[in-house]
Amino acid sequence: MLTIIVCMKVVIDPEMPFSEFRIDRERRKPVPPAGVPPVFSPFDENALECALKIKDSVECRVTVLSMGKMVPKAILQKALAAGANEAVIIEDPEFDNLDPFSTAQILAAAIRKLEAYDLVFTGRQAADWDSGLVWAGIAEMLDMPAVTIARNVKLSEGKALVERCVWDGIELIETQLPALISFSSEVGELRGVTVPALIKAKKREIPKWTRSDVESQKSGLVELKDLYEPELGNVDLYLVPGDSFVEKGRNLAKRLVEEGLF
Amino acid sequence: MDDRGCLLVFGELEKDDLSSMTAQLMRAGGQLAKNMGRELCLLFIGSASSEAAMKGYGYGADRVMTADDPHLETYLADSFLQPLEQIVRELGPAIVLFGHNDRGFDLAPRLAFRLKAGAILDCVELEPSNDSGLVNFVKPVFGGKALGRFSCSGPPRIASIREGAFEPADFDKSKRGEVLPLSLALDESRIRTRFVGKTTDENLSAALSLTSAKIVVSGGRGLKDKEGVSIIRETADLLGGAIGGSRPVVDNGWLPSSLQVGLTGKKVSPHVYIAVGISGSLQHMAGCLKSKTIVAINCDQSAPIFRLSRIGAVGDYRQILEGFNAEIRNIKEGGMITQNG
Repeated sequence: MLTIIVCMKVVIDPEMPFSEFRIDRERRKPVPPAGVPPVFSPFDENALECALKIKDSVECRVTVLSMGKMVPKAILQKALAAGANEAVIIEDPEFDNLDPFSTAQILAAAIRKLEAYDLVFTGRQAADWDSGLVWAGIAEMLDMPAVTIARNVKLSEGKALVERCVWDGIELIETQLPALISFSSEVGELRGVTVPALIKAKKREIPKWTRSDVESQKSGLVELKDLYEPELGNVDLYLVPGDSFVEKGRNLAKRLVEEGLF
Repeated sequence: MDDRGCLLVFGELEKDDLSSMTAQLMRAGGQLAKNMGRELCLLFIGSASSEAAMKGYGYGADRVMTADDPHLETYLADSFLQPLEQIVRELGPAIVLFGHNDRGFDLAPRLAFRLKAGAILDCVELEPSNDSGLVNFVKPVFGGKALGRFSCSGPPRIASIREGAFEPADFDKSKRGEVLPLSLALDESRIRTRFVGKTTDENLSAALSLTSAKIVVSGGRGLKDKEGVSIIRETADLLGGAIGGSRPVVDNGWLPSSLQVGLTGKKVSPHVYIAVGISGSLQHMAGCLKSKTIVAINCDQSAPIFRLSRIGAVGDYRQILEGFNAEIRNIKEGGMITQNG
């Protein structure tokens, strides 16, 4: 049976209000916002959605793999309720602030440990560090071809036909299997979850692996030296005056021309 | 490995010239190369006319190289990566720069893993550094909520650069040189993918002008309906600019997804970005924060967009743009505006 592994990262909700986002500059990491539950990185949800679309039409098994310092079980249960067959957590206190090179190595080791696979799906980049590297590491370490920024995948005769989003259209790329495919928002959002499915998923055990189950070592290839807020707060806002909205519009045009912006 | 190597730019051509992205890489790489006292090398993979490739010298390259093979006629990462890996291994550059575009974010990460080299994508600044990292790479993280300064161990260090982060390098047509063709040995069995075909986006010309326009008028949820798109289009046309939109506008089907500005869409950096009915979510701002001037038109004065804009107008956007357009027409008749675009 066709097997798809979807790598999903749990991140600080990227849709959280800007005003709530704080950086701990000393420790070079964001302060987890109080009262904002973590979520799957949105592109990883797109990847899962594409896997489930394939599962809708052909017999296939979807396994979700999520690694981190702490992976909340409840989020993985959501993936199961959406239609994934299995979920595996790879969790270790040491998996804190790993660089993409170490992350890819751990995920590749975990995928090797899982049974045979035909496709590995990831998001194009995670919504926290936006590195956009991990997919490539998995593909290279497992010696698979990769197709990036996909919006749809069809399977036929032991190959996958991938619609790849490029700036001026859609490329159609055929790849041998096994292959890695990375996804973007063009896939569409992850399907909703029904209450009965969620209740059923809550009863499922989710296997948990640790560092000792996967070989892991810090790569030391990249180092985060500083994490800081972009200078946006200091923008001096000039609000155009006007007794009516139309007049404000006229004044806005005058102002922009005076500043030589047009 | 010897870390005194050159700075290598992965080049792309557009018609008979360097692509705008590549010209920007020549600026970014040129500054670094000068700082570090290194050679600036430019490489074109795939069919490149030597006349066009030679222009690389005009943009400041010390050496321009081409690598061509029948397998490289259409772009496939599997085929492009082979010569790229060979050449980088032989040349031993200290730094390799890509544009952060369809090819750059497809190739740079895999090249990095093949060479066991550090990589940072989507950089907006490159800062020379005195330590062994040679350079610090600054990139937006957390959807643009923060910036990270990274160093990479090398050689090589691999980076992709965000479009618009650097001005294109100046072109000096008197500078010419010899384009060096490199010989390749491609292993066909390692090409595991096949290019089947391509459909071009029907909104291509609009998407094209969006990323290159000096003025962008962009609409958000506050447009309220599809009609609003025609209103911002009118303003954009008057200014010789392009239109774009935030995700809700695309989700509602008012604009095609190729015109979406934001983290998941186009990243634009025009001289003037006019945000109409856009609240200023991080997802959206990640796509336009590099604009020189952000102008906000919004009925809600507490919207975050006003904290990120230099000039704002609070009120009904239809009436504001009505007055705005009328005044622009006026001024145009007076001959004070030269068409920009």
